[in-house]
Amino acid sequence: MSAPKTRTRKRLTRRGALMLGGIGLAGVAGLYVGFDVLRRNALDNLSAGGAPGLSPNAWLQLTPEGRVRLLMPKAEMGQGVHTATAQIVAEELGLPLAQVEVVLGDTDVLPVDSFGTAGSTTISSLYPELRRAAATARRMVLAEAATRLNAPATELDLIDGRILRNGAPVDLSITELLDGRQIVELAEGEEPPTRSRDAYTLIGASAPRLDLPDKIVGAARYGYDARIDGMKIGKVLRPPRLGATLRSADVDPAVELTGVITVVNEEGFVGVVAETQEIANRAINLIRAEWNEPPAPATQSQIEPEALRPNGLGGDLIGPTAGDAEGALRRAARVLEAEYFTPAADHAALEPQNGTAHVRQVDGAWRADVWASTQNPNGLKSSVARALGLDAGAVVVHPQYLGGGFGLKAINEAAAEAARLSRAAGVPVRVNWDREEEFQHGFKRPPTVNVLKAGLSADGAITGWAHDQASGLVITAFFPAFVRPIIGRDFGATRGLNPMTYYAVADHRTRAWMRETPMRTGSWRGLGLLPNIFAIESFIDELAHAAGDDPLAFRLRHLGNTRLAKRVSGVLESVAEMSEWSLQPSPVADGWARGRGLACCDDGGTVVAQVAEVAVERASGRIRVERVHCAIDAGLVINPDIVTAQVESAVMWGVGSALIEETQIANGALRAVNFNAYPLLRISQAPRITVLPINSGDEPVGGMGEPVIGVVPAAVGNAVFALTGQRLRLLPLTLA
Amino acid sequence: MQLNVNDTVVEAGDLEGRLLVYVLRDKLGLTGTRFGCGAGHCGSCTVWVDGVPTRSCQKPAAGVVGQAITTIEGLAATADGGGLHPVQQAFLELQVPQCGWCMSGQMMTAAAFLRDNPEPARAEVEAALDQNYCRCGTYHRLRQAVLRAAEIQRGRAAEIQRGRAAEIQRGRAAEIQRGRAAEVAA
Repeated sequence: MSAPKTRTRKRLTRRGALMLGGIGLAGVAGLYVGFDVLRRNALDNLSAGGAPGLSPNAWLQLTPEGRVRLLMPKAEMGQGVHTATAQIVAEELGLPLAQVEVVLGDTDVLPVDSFGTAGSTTISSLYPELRRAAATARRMVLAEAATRLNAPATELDLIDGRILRNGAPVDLSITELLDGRQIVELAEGEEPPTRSRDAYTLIGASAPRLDLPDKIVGAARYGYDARIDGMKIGKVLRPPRLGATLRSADVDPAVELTGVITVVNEEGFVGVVAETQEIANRAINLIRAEWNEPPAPATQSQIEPEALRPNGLGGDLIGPTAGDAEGALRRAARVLEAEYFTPAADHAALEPQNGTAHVRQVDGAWRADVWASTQNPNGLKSSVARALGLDAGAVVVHPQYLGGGFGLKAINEAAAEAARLSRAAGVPVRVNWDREEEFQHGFKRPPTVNVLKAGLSADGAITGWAHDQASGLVITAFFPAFVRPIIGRDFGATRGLNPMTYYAVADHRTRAWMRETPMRTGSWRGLGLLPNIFAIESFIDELAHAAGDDPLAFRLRHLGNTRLAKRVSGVLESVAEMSEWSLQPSPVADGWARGRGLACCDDGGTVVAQVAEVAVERASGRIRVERVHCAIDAGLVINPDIVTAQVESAVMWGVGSALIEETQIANGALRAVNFNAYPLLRISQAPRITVLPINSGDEPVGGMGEPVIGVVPAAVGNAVFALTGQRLRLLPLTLA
Repeated sequence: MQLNVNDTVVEAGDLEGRLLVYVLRDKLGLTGTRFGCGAGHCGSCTVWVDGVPTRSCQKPAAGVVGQAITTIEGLAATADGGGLHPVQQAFLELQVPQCGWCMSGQMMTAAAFLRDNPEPARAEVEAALDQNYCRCGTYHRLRQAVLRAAEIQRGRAAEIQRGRAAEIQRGRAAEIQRGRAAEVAA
């Protein structure tokens, strides 16, 4: 076999080839397109005076066998993005979907994605970049074919993996075309021609998920499943109470236990390495530790509304703001005020946090390889490097499938723990957290208080809107404490506080406060969306009732004339039709009363509206969600069935928060140790769910994984009000 | 010590103090059985012991020596007709899994349930799977998929029945042929 030749096509090619060398693909035959999944951000940087030029953090590889490997820094955690991205590439390039494989690349291959996989942004941010990369690859194939066939490229196309000339197959395969060569380009500069949306056959179709065949036979590999040659099992000592820090530890009983390989006893960090998980668990329990207790034990009252209310110093005015809200309230015919509370909650991903590390010296330099379930491989690389005191370049993260992410796996501490233990023991070490560590030591959704005040005119129109919100930390929890007052607000906690971008109220303002809590808090599916939309859409319902108006008509009447407001009206009208809103539900049957509630919102361009059909057992006051209708419009739909699955999932999260979930503090520690004290929804509590994904526009404009979560508790609470006349303003909803 | 896992006798090492879930995952590399809670609440670690759905995180490994362990990796082989088990086929058809972590436990529980209840009602499906958590919240599809799996299972059983009937018929025809041939020869 002859050595592959690198063909020099244009100025960029040599740089591309050099980069390919950097990711270990130098000399491997194939057609390569390097591109940047953060190109929009990169362009922003550029316009802000940053360095020009593309540094690829994603690669499209067309192999001589005519298969595509897409190396991409986006994690598959059940949201189906590897399938949807494969559809986009297959469509634009002109290959059967089965020939596209999506790989979450190691961090040495894909060094940059500071954002990770979060915020329901993968598809909307990647669509134009994937399309550009695939179109570039197609143009390269056709240019090569044009030379070979001595035909104008305009007469050629690539359809279903075959090269066509004027619509007829030619006798030239991709294998013959590549001829063992390596052809490299970077997707920058001039725009390649892209296919017309009218010609789409794969985009918009419900292609089956690429990851499911492995998942139904138990063959998919998650971080928790890591098994490395010579690997041992690590476990770390945890404080018994919130705020307690390690003073000293007597580790001798652990050292003496048969099967224990190493015990690490450093300042603030005690851990064991053992032959098996059972021995590691036993060894940790044998350690006798002394703890420095916090000045006062943490209490439940610290995470309740009284302790968190939005008042006092630190309230930050957040946009959008218009007119004179306070003045409008003074002039209103009636003023309504209400306070809503959403408690702390757990992620409870069924795969706990995990990390496996192999730290050793290679040619005199330290190197750490890490396998983990992570939403943010490059963030993890940095945190492992920090824990080891190494340069980030010494760490390579090999990201695995996630058994649920939900914001939890944006931050992974298990991998750094495994790395410290691996270095001490001189062997690869896996640290798999157990359920108690998740409940007792993981970070949580913070509690949030929303206080809303609005005026109504004599004819029942909203005339002023003043909204104060206070929340525990979400995004700022991941920054050093000194940064918080400088930033002034938490962009995660305030997500969803934009109702006045679609409702038209002339005079409005919103303020937000950041609150510390005794336990660690952070990103949880949808961030502030659930607590904030619960408050806003319940309050809109209160206003509708006070105005004597139907909740649907009241909302439609207050939606403005902006494009966004019209899209919100559109999903409201769709969901009203789906749920037959104009008909009354059969009110009472078999001891249960039945009613419906409505809610809507915009989240980053995705607009949703929902009707929840709820039953209340007359005797017990028990609330059951029986059916949920949801209309969702996020622009162009890539895969309707994946959208539907994401909506179904977000609905269940919303129902869980609406009915049962609450993280509490007891005896100075988090109360739940396992699921008996923090039950999740069960199949018998799951409503039937009907989803209408609305396909609109030329591009995906928003996400699917989170936006729906916000409207669920409001729709359920509004249904409970319609049924019982009781307005429930605390989650989880409980009838008196 | 030896264990019988998925119809194969395997060397499982010293089982003293070991839990079945860790032996399967770490010693035998059968990581399709997942750890979720370690307390028997969530069902992610469900395997069969002599055909009975069992939480492997609660099961001392030494206690199952000599019994038949079936894990998700061996589920397909327990079904008639080859290929995927009807439950796996239905889960794929309805695209049930999202993250997939709980799914081995869901499928092992559902398959054992359908073996004993080939024509379940929706409420019976819910009762059978009510102790298996799915945090992604795929319950809406899960419920449909178990009912669909029952359908597939019944379809396969009927096919096998038909196949057998055809076989018997062919056998009889051949017998009659032979009888006639013998008659003619006589």
